[in-house]
Amino acid sequence: MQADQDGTMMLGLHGTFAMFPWLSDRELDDDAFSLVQKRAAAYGFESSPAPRWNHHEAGGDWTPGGDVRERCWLQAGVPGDGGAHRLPVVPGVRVLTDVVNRVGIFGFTGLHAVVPMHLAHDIGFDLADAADWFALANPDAGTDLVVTVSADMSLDLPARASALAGAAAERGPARLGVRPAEPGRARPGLAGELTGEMFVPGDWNREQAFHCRAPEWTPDVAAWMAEIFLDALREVAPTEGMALVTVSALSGGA
Amino acid sequence: MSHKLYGLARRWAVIMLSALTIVTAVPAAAHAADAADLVLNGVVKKADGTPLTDVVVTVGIETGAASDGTVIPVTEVGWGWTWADGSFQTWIGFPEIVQASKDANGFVPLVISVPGEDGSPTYLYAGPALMGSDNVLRPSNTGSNAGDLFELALHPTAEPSDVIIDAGVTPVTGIEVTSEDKEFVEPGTAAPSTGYNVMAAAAKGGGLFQQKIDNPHLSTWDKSQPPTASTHGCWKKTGGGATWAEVTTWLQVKRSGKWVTLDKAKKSVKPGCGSAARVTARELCKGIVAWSDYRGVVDVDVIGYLDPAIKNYSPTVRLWCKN
Repeated sequence: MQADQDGTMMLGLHGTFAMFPWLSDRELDDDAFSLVQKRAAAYGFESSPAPRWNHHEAGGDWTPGGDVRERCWLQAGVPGDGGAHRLPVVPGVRVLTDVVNRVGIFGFTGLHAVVPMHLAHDIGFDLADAADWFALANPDAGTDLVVTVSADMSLDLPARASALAGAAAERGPARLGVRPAEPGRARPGLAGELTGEMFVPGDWNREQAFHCRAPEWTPDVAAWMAEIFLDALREVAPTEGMALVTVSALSGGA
Repeated sequence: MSHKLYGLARRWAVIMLSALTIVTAVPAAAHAADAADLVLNGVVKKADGTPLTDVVVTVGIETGAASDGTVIPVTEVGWGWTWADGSFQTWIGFPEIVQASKDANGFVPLVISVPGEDGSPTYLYAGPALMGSDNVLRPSNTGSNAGDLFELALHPTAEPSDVIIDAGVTPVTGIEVTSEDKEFVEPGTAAPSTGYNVMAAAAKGGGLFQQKIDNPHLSTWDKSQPPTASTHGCWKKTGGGATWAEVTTWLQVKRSGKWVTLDKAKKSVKPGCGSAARVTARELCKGIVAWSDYRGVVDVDVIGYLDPAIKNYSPTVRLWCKN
């Protein structure tokens, strides 16, 4: 039997979108659901006997326009493998990015991730490697971000905002500049409704926002930022429940 | 089936089993074979010499082993039923799979199995078979299977025609029965495969196809709905002429140790698992502060082509969704 140690993960890419003209008038056999599954299969993420995730759902709002919508999202079952693998946030974001760029012109404004924290393990070394990776970015591409972290209200994240900011700063580059933000317009790059937010109901959770600066603005960087804050949460406020992280661009967005 | 091939095919083999329990199933007619077919004829007997009747005999090519060693992924290339006297004829839809798996020394990793008492395959033969220049497969004369007798005869005019892709196949466990209460195998007897289940079979002329069922999960796609357990069934194929299939998806919950169907959905869909090509079975949660165990089941009937009557089962998944 599949253990109930397994978890569910949701990821969503938000932004503007215009379907490619050669696709806009066609009735497509494929949709976000099947394209996400096919792309994940192409990377081998669903290969037996040890899949990185099991495809559950996927979708996306491909209404053309310059308004921010949730353009592609996935829900996946993540096997509880005793820490053999890190949560597949980066691979998941890669798949979503591939899909949305396959069918149209996508302007990325934000990422959200709902993750099972009981499967979050120490990924400090991986994050350090990622910092080296993104240090190669164009120095002029720096982008101000706002990141929100939501988890069970018993963790009282606002009371731990300084500790979370410190833990995130330790995991990022020197110029990350993490600082807690006041409540307010915390998710400027995200659609109003986030797929999977039902797994972290608002009345059970409390959100804390942070400002920081990333070396550039891409879905890859956003995934890295999300992992920085998830790893900080794992250390500062351990929980077995679900956590929601959002990453939005305040400036310099694509 | 030509008389010439029939003559070739009538190289009966006797496969002796040390221990085997009969699994009841409905008998079906043996497949007719044509000039491009590989055919295995045999007789299955129990250790006491009595015939093993009414079971599915599956012929496959071993394509690898699972990391835990418990599942041997097998590309199924043929299947048949045993008659009252224990005899069977197994039609091999894709002899080129057998040919393509041949190593430099002519050995083919052959697997012949029937469902055991717990539903998992019991191997009549699992080991190398030697394909000689006469296009006949015979067991190697080494190892524990030495002395087993069987022959697979490939028609001399047969030629490889399709590219075969390893689809990550799980051993065959399905048992076809006709009455509703016996439609599914008993709890615990289905051999689960991890993740998005894959079963491949040679649909004669229709290409190699997979039937897929994802793990039951709490659905998020419709935000206006209360929590719902759902599972998707669909199919994919490589090559061949098949374009439509009737896909049936079941969502089942375990109650008092028995699987109960909560929802059953059936549609004719094209392959690919796209927007109009999925068949979803779903049920609203009656509560989310208690869990239930679920599984998804799928059956794909390729329209216009022969395919095995085998269902695929997802692993059992525990969801915080009471039903």
